[in-house]
Amino acid sequence: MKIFLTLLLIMLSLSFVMAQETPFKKKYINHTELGALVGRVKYAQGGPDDRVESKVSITAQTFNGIQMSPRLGVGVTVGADWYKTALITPIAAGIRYDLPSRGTARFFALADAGYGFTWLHQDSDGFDTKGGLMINPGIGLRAGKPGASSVTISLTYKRQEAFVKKPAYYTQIKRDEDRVYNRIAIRLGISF
Amino acid sequence: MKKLLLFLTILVLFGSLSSCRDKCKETRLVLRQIPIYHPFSEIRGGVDVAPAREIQDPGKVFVQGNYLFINEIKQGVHVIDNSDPANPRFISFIKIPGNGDIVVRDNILYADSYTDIVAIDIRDPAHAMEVGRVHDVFYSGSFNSVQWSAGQEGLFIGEYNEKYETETFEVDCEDNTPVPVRDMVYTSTVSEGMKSVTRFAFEDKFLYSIVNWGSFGVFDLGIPAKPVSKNRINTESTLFSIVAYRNKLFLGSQSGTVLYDNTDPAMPKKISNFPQGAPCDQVTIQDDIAYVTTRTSSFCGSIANKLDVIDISDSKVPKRVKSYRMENPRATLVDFPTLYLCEGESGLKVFDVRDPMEIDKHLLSVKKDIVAYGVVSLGKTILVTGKDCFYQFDTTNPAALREISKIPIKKATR
Repeated sequence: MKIFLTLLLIMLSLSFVMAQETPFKKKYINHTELGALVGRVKYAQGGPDDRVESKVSITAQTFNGIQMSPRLGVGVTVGADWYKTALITPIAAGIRYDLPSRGTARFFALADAGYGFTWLHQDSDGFDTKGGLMINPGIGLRAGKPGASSVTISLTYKRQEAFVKKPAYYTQIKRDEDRVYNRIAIRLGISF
Repeated sequence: MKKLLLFLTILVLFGSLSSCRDKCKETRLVLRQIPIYHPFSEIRGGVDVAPAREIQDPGKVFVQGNYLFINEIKQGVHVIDNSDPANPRFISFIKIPGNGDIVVRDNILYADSYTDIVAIDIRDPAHAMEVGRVHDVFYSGSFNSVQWSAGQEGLFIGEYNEKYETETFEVDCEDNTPVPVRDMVYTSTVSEGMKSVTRFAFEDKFLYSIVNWGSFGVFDLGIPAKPVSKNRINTESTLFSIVAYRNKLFLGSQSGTVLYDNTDPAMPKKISNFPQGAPCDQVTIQDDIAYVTTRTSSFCGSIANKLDVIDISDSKVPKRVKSYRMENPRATLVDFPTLYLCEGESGLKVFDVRDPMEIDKHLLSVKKDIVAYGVVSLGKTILVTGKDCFYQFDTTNPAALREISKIPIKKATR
């Protein structure tokens, strides 16, 4: 949440100037990215001492939509996130919003919100992994001429929920895990 | 200005990396078993005479005169008047909490009651009376493979209060290790286990009792109602049964039968081990011959079903005379020249054992239609412990056993 607010502030601070340009025509847009989800985990399994581990997962996603205004594009994002024990396929509504800036490197804000499915996931015996809500807001930098294809780099915050039913050990009746992946996504992509 | 903003943006984002943590909470619903402890007073005040009732889960049978004393595992002793073998009559039920073995001598019934040995006057079985008690002889044991133990909190007899609890733990978000199949973790087949330890034996004025898994005690019965602990002998392996015969003790142990000399009844001394002993061997002795049955079972871990005939004329070096293959041999009874052998589900076999080398060729009869777990002699008749009842057979002609009566056994509800 903290991160989300930070991003919002930056977005606002960047959008104070805005200039009208040539007459606008709606068109199809695509933004495809590949990158890494980085984060860490702190846990104390079966003992009082916490243990911290770093995590890196691969992420890929493609946004397909319509450029609604010179700045705003809306569409659907489909992706795949290879967490260590879950392959999640998020399907989300997404926006791409170009922040006012000049030159060939321009900032843009992006946000996706939807649901992560586990259609492609395969469980170990006794496990049942279910997906959950996903949000992924952030900021990116676009290099390329306005209106033409461009290369992007983006830095976003990704929250993905999941629920895992696990096999119970002796004396246990039921064992479940509520999982929240809190990651920073660093992605490179192309947009046209 | 803009470059500064860009720089700051990136700085803030990377800074926030440190707070980006996966959060995984595992919730477990657990069945907690909380042991129940009984105060000793509750157990010690438990000896009482109750009206006769049906037998359930029978253990040892002891014969004294016209009376049959049949132990009901953990509950007490049924007293049956067998003066008319065709019509055995239930007299009473002596409640003895935690009772697994009994012996009777001089109108005193000695019984184990969890931690204690109780002496009960049975001159009038309908009004049996506790006359003596030795406290804290045993510290642990088992009935039908359920352990009991005595501790400071009281007596634990394998009972638990069950409570459901929910626990939550933070986990590493990466667990996908399969769990071994539940049944593999804890298995115990009660039916194949041991009902109780055959722990009592007599010799002269001494009572021998297996005290715990690895030792047996000697009790002086100088004053019959007041057994006095005299000695304690540690053995090399776990004990399951004890038989006293002509100045010798035959101890059934994890590593087979062990022979002790008790010419001085207060100081038994180890003489020898039977050849090729196996766990859960059952021994019956007649003169210089010991008949040892070994049965395959998951509990005992033996690998053969057999009857061994062992010559013990030189007790220092017991010699195996011959081994015979059996189906599922359990208890035996020798009433020379006849050997009765319980084969469990396969019935009761009767052999003539005059020639120890050719016992298998002298099979007198087989009762195939009954289940036979145990057998005791009542003089002219035998009492066979079956599944649903006790059978009483007339043994005038061992080649053709004649059923005289049955004592029903109520189906155990466990």
